[in-house]
This record gives sequence, structure tokens and C-alpha cells, in this order.
Amino acid sequence: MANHLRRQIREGLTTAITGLSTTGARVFTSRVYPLEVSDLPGLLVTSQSEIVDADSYGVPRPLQRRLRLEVRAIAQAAADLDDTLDQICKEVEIALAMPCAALAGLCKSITLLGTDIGMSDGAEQPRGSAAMAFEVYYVAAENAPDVAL
Amino acid sequence: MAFVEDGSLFYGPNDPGVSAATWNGSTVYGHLNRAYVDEFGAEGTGIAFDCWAANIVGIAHGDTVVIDGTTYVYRGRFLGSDDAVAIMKLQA
Repeated sequence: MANHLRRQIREGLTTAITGLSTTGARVFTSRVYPLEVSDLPGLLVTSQSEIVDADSYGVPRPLQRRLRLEVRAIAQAAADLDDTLDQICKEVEIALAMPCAALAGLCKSITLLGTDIGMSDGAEQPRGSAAMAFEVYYVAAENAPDVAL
Repeated sequence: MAFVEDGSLFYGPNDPGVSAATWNGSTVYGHLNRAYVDEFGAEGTGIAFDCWAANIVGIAHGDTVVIDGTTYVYRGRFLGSDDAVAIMKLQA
């Protein structure tokens, strides 16, 4: 049995955004502990929530699922931090635009819902974050959450 | 006659933990503090230098401060509760 589609999608998304020009291989999934400075600029991928609709009868029912995934860009720079964050967002958005090969066969669509941007002076250099919220729409039978319909 | 505190008694150049900071051609003594911070999910170091406030009158945002051979950029300050000690925020 394959992994839950949520995991497959998260891993596919991570694959799609690994190796981008600015963040390279510094992509981390479900990271609990803080990154090191040497991990910056980097990307954090986390599953945030999921809404499930069962809009038909029968057994088993197909479930329409809307998974909220966050891709958080974190960067540190002495100057032009906002430019760096915007560049990272550009690269991520292009990598995840449909059709996204790494998500082919797993989901119907992936949509950027919004981006929260913040900057801080608390560290040794200005630090910033751009948290991109993506909604991934996929369908699976209720008794087979590992197989996309 | 107003009482005037002598800042050199608090930040003597030979006191333990005291560093020399060079700013605008003059030397100021104080404590360099490097605190662990977690900003946006990544660890870092918050850098501050506390010294006698009267010794840094006129310092401006963006000025260069050299401490222990490392160059920092002055980004701001706030005063301690007695207004005598200033805590400078520094950028690496």
C-alpha cells in the first residue's frame, strides 16, 4: 500500500521546489526545530490543514479533499531582503504552476492562496519570511486515501 | 550639587567581560552580548553592546562599530532603567 496521498503530495511538492536557483537543496519538510543560519535562504514545507467533502452517496464514497500546504521562504540579508524573498516566491510559484510534473497523477490542481510576509531585526542580520499558502485539490475514495482518483 | 556617576567604574577596561568598541575614532568600553534567537524558524544571534550612555552621545544609525576585531553596524539603542546605561543594537 502506498503512502497517504497527503504525504505523496507533500513529497512531490518538495521535489518540485528542490534545486531552485536561490534556495537550492535547502528545502525542509515538517521541520520542528529551527534551521541553522547556513540553511538560509531556505524553504520549509508543512501540511497545515485539510478540508474534506463527501458529496455523493454509495460505498465507497469519493472524497474531495483540499489540502492546505505552506511553503515558507526564510532568508537573511544585510540589504534588499524583500527583493530576495520576492525572488524566492517567484521561483517557487513557477515550479508549482500547473501542470506540475512532480504532482502529476496525484492532484487535480494546486493554487496559491496568498502570501504572508514578515521581516525582523532580531538576528545578526535582517531576517525575513514569506509564507506561501497553497491549496491542493485531490480526490480519493474513502477506503483508499493512498490512491488518487 | 548634582550627583554624577562615573561610568568608568562600571565599565573599566580591565574588568572581566569588558570589550573595547571603537566608534568614530574613539574607544568605548562595555559588554558585548550575543543572545540566541529564533526568528521565523531559523536560529540566529541577537547582538547587543551595553555601555555608558554618555560615551555614545551622537552615535547615529548606520555608524560602524568595531568590537574585538569584528565590524558591526549600529542600528539603534535603548536606555536602561536608570538612563545611564545604553544598550546598542548591532548588525553583523
